Amino acid sequence: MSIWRNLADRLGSARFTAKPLRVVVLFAALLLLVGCGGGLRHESWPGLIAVGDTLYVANLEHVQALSAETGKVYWSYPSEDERAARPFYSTPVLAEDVGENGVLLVAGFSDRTVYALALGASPAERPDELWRFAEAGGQYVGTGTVASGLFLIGNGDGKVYALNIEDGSKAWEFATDDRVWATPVVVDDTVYVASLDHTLYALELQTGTEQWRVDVDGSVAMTPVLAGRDLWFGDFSSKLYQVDTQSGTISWTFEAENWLWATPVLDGSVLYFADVGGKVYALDIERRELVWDAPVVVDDAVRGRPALNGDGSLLFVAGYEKGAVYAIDTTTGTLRQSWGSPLENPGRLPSDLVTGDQRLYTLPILVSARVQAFSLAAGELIWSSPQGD
Amino acid sequence: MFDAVLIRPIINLLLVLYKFLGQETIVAVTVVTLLLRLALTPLQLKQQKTTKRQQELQPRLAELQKKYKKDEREKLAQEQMKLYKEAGVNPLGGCLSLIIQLPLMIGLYQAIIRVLASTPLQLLALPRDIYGWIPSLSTLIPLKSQFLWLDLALPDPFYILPILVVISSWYYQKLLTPPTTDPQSAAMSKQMMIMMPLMTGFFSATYASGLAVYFLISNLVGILQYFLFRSHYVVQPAGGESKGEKDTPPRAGRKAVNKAVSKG
Repeated sequence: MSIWRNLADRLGSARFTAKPLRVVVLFAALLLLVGCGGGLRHESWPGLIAVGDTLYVANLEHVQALSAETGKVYWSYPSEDERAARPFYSTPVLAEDVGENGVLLVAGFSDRTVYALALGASPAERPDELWRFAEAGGQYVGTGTVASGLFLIGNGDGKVYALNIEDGSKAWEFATDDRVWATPVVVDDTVYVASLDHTLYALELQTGTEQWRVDVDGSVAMTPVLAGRDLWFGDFSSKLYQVDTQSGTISWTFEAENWLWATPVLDGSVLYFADVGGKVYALDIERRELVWDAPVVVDDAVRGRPALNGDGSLLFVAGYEKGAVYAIDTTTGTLRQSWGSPLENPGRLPSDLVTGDQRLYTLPILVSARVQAFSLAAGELIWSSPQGD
Repeated sequence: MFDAVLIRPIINLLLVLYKFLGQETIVAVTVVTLLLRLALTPLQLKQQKTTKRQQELQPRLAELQKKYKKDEREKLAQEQMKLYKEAGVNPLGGCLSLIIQLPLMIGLYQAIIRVLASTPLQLLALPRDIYGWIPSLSTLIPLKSQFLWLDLALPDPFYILPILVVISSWYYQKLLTPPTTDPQSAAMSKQMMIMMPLMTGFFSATYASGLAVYFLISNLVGILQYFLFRSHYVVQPAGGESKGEKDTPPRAGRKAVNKAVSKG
């Protein structure tokens, strides 16, 4: 660290004699070196699901239930005053058929724990914690999925866990060679798991026994989308793959311009997907041709899953760094409009967009208004939560 | 600008080394640290030489300060500058090398933090830093960060690496601390010997352990450099030669010092 020693000497020779000040300057210099980007260390991308008139949001340290109409917070779990370093990357999942009113399942990032919350009779009723599962060795980034009484979720320790939703006991686990950030996809008796180890696995739903695997070029963080008997997913090598689930082979690949991370949206035979460089593609998967001549450029990184409006005429894409939402005409591939939060700081938008009842919900980070509801038609802010922001 | 000129090239160098050196992050970080330290060695030695010569002038400067009272500060400043000039020492010499070194160090720190990306959000910033014209670098992401008990993207859970960083920083500081008779300089040196290891130890314990690897390698290279180029570091104490050190200030410089002091 001679550079610091010499810096101190220079400061000294320049008659910069206040010793405490010298130490402060050195400390600030070191902080400058390592501090940039530190603000994101305690952030995450929040996740939201809309169930009827209620929104369930996993956001930083809490899971909350909100009124979709007004944004009023019904409850927070754990209570607001508990602030464990947990931030949630995982979106809550509702197992509607379990228990009297359903069970909400969500997994924490830093605390490596899956929480099962038994919901009350009304949305405003505070849920009871049913069980916790804290046996995984890594952090949870991906969202889980519910099938046949099991909660299936990938973990940073490279394993996929199948938990019995009734009691949280482990039914089986399956180890991949790297972290699992994508949501498992269940089709009939098979669960498909994409891993950062460059592989897509097909496992038996009830036992976790491997049926087949497909190796691809890059890490797969994108959740695959099922179309007919094919799975479509992209990877960090910028390729989009069509995999035949019957034979477990790659049928076709498409090369995008940058990493593919955001989960695609399927509408009929058109698959909409965006790369992290901000290019948005519309691919006719039956003809294997781009619907638009060229991808639409939104000039921002895209990580969150896009969303369609009710009639599929508009595709909404979240720009991560600028915090803006872009509306793209799905027929012509032209940018209709973009809107940002009217609040002073738009924050960033890494999360999936969610539409419902003529509304678009965004979950900006690095801001205090963590949930925002816009009108789909005009892009006007209807409410934000916490309220008053 | 800083990203494009420094951080991105270092990130891509790290990735290329990772690709060709067995896909071991710790090896890539170590090699980049070594390469950077080697590239900076001529500058550091030049800077050290300037520092050493300034240290050697300290007794003479102290004599000048004694000679001139408080109301003669202007005259004192003139004589000091004259002394520096005649001794061939620029009082701000070495600043240029610092100006070059500091951004490089910042670039390396930032590159390590970004490429290790301890959270998915941090990883999201990485694609724009990777050169598309180097084939298949993106297929390496995320880097394998496990090494022995360490996840290089996270702090060391057992604090072994931060402790090694503190020890090596302290020893390196000790080597760099010149003998001095000036109480103010001695106090500052003592302060630096405590503060610097603690600060680097704190950052090593708080941030990605890949950064701690950088600190440790950097200290070890610095210690090695000290012993290899000892004559650039060891300062002659006032009135005699340092132990085991035969290097002397330039004759012209010494004559100038004596002349300046006797004139006063």
